[in-house]
Amino acid sequence: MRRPGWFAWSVTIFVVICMIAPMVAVIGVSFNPHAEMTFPTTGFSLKWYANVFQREQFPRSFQLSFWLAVAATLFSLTVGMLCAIALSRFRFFGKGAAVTLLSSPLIVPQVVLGMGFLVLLSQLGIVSSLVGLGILHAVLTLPYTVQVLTASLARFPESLEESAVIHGANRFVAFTRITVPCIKPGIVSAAIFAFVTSFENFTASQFLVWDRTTLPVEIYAYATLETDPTVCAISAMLIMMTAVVVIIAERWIGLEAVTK
Amino acid sequence: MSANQFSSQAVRLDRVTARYGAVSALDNISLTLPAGEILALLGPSGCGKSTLLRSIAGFAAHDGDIYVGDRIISSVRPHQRNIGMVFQDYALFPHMTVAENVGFGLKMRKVARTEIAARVFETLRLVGLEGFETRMARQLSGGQQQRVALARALVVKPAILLLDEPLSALDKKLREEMRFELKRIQGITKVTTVFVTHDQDEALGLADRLALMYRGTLLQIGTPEDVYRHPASPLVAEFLGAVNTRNAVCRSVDAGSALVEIPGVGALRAKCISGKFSVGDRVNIFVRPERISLVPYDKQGAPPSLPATIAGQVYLGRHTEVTLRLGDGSTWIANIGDDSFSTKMAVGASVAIQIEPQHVMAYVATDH
Repeated sequence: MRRPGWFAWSVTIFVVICMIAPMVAVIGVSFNPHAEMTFPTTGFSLKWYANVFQREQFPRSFQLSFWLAVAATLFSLTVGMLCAIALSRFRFFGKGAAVTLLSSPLIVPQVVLGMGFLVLLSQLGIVSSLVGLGILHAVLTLPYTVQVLTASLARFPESLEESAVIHGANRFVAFTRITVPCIKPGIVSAAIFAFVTSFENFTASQFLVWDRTTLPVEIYAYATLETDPTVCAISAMLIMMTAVVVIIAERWIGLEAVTK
Repeated sequence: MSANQFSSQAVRLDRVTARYGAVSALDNISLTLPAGEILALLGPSGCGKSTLLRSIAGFAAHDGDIYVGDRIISSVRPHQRNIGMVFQDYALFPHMTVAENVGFGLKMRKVARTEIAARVFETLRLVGLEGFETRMARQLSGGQQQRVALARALVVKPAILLLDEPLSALDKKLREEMRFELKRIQGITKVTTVFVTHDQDEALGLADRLALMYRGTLLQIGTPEDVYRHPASPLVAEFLGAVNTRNAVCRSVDAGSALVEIPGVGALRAKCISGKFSVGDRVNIFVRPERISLVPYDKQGAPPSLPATIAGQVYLGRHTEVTLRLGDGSTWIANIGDDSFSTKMAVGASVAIQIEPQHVMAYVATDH
């Protein structure tokens, strides 16, 4: 194999720095003892971490974001699987339109989507953030699960399911006993995509702030008012959380399967 | 009845028809397969053989009735048909061990765990894979996967066994070994078997009965010997390797054979297979390359034989493939088994083509 030249190395290093530097900066600043976001820091302190938990909006919005993401993930996994079965196994009238419609939340600007939901739900008198965000996040996450699961099912040889059926399993048993275990990597990566998409959504979610709101919106609101490193402390904790999830996912099914 | 012998059933298809849109994939197929026999469905791709197999399995919608024994299974759902099936890609469950794969059908039938273990063991021994129980399916070689797939199909003691291109994924040596194995295992279990293939060696070597299909129709069904020796139609002859074909005119007829003349080439004695032959009829003749023998032109024996020149030859080990240019400029292929042929006859040499009359298959021309 050829060895990369200096140009390839420079590009690689530049890209890696661009990817890692912001995270290093955020983590660094989060330990800053002074109430300003400067880097490199001059001391070490955990007080901004403590502040995260003292400000009740953060734990509260974290809880909402977390359960919202769990619910959105479960919903779009279930509905996404049904869509994926239809799209990968059946030919029907309007299939092309269905594919376009299901992926439209990826294409429509989120500002438009958020605004649309705001107008629509207000008209209907539904002014509960929980309900509004629930519907919004279900819509936002569905394209990912549909796409990932359709691709998994398309690659999964149908003969496996048929061989389960011919040897005595009904369609449902064949699907749950054979197909689901075989496309587990696809299901896990669909779940991760859905969870992350819901958890980190800011643009559309900020339109539906009636009684409660999500963590990203709360972080942004705080950052527009205060200049202390509290938001960096939250970010650092989120980075840690993500790292733990990625390690678990890698141990469980292999990271390659998730990123593919 | 030994532990491995099944009470297998006869299969009968009654006017089975399947359509995809305007295309008819199966056109009025009727056939009967006695219990315990092996039927090969042979034909070029797209002839409907796979659709027919999938109709029996219950995976393809069709009209007409399919009987297993005296039971109509056409409206029975696939998982209740009590069929064993080996798929072309084996379709082993990759997340299960060999024993779990083989025992799957029994588990679905709610058989007790100890009995499952015993029957899995017994069936693995039948296919020559004892001791492989705890291996994962994906760790096995192609031939071993094939055996597991076969064991999984047989363990449920199915009424019939279906095989979809069973040997096509194996290399040549393994293919011959597995053909022998399939025959052996079928001989022990006596399970009525239907398999699909596009390979005539596979069909001839494995089947008790051979059904030739073309464009959704059944051209001919019979024992391999019968079909090979007496192809009922030019299509069958051509599919079973009779690639040398020519239009000719019937010059004289006696019992079962005729003297036919190929315009511009010469005359041959031929076996009349289909149709009523009379002098002056236009006929199609078909000759298999391996049935042609060549002698130097000056040494030719009693006529009739066809004069030709050698246009080319390729040494293939088992035989030499000789391209012959006939008097009218067209070419025939001859496979000459004599190993020293290529050194004896040079390109450009004049030869006489001699063929035993029973190997010149003649059909009264129905077209043009």
